[in-house]
Amino acid sequence: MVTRGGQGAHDRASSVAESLTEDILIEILSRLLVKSLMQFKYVNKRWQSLISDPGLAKLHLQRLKAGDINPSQRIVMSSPLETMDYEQLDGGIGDNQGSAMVKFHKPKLDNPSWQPDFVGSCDGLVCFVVRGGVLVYNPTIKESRNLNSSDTVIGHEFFHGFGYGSASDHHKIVRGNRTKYYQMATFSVKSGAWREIQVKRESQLAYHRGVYWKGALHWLEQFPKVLSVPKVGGDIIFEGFRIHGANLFIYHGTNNDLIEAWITNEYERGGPWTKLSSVSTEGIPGCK
Amino acid sequence: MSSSSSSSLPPCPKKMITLKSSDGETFQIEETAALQSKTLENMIDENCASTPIPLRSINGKILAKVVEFCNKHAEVGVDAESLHAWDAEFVNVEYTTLFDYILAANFLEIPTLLDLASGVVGDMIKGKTPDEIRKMFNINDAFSPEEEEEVRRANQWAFE
Repeated sequence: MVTRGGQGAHDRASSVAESLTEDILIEILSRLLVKSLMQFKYVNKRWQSLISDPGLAKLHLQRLKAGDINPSQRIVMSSPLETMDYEQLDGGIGDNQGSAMVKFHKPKLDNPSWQPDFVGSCDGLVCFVVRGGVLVYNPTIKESRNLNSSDTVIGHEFFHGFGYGSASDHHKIVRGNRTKYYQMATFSVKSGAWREIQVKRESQLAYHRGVYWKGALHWLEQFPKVLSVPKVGGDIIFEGFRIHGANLFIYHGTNNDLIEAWITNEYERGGPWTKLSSVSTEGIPGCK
Repeated sequence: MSSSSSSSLPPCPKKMITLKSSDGETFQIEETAALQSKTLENMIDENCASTPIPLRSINGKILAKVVEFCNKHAEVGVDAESLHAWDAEFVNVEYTTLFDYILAANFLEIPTLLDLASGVVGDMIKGKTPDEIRKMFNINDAFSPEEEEEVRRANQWAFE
């Protein structure tokens, strides 16, 4: 019954394809992986402008969040900046073969001597502090934007956070210093400007990287006040937390040769934490 | 039919509306099934659905399939798995027909059908080269080699 690509099909395609409006094309394109989209920029001018449209990027992100598209899995490392994309081959985790496809990429920086310092990630964008500025990097399309630094907040001991402000619909960088406890500035990636804000902080932040999760920036010191932490015995100090997909994980390495981590997806006091298996630090680069 | 319904209401006569395709064919569809289309829903709300509704952009062959889709998706007691299988069979057609489904679903505002057909087209085109896309979508204004080189310089990595 079904004939694909016959001569008749092609003639019909001419009349039908021409009536596909931009809305419909965006509807179709928003389901593709970015790799395909980057290729399809070469189709013609119309497709190139559709693919470069922020509206498509937004719809694409919505589909990613709704789970309609499988996101690519990626690890971003700083100093030196490097990304590692991986996808599990058929069989999945736990399969005997356990093989994955891994691709490395070293982004080119405007200044090769920069040692990017990781700030945080949000919606697939990664933010770094570099000397004299801030770098927002999109590892999917491998493009970065260099933002000027703030001179509204002065000091040496900065803390930074990167997240998304839903009220303003902007990605924002928060920056403050630890010597003046009430002084902070936010940078809107969209408008490209810093704005000084006064924030009443309850305590000094020692951990200087905020983590964006479920619509808000979190700081490790404040964390136990907002959320529960895993119940562990002894004098365990959590060293850090990170985001994986929609989950938050928290870890400590108090027992020298062991890293213990917990993961949760629920934003509630007393919410359930799942313990990930403890990992020996032996042989892991960067661990003592 | 669905006589197993626990409803104690007396069965009322099914309200039907009539659709007319671009080539003059008419189709009867139950109002409950037609409500999946926002366009038809608005017409029903405004009492504009008492006479055959002319759909000048949809031919009889496609309209028959769209009616079939709406009827199936309005059926009571179909489990998700068999509906999924039915959908998969429904969109197992050549891509030009999928374009027709998309255009009809877009015009009639039937999100389930738009979603289904756009998803299949997305799956079809994802591994294709720009050249294959131009053929499929009947695009005749490709970039000149110079223009293409310019685009290429801007995103070299996609060819890595």
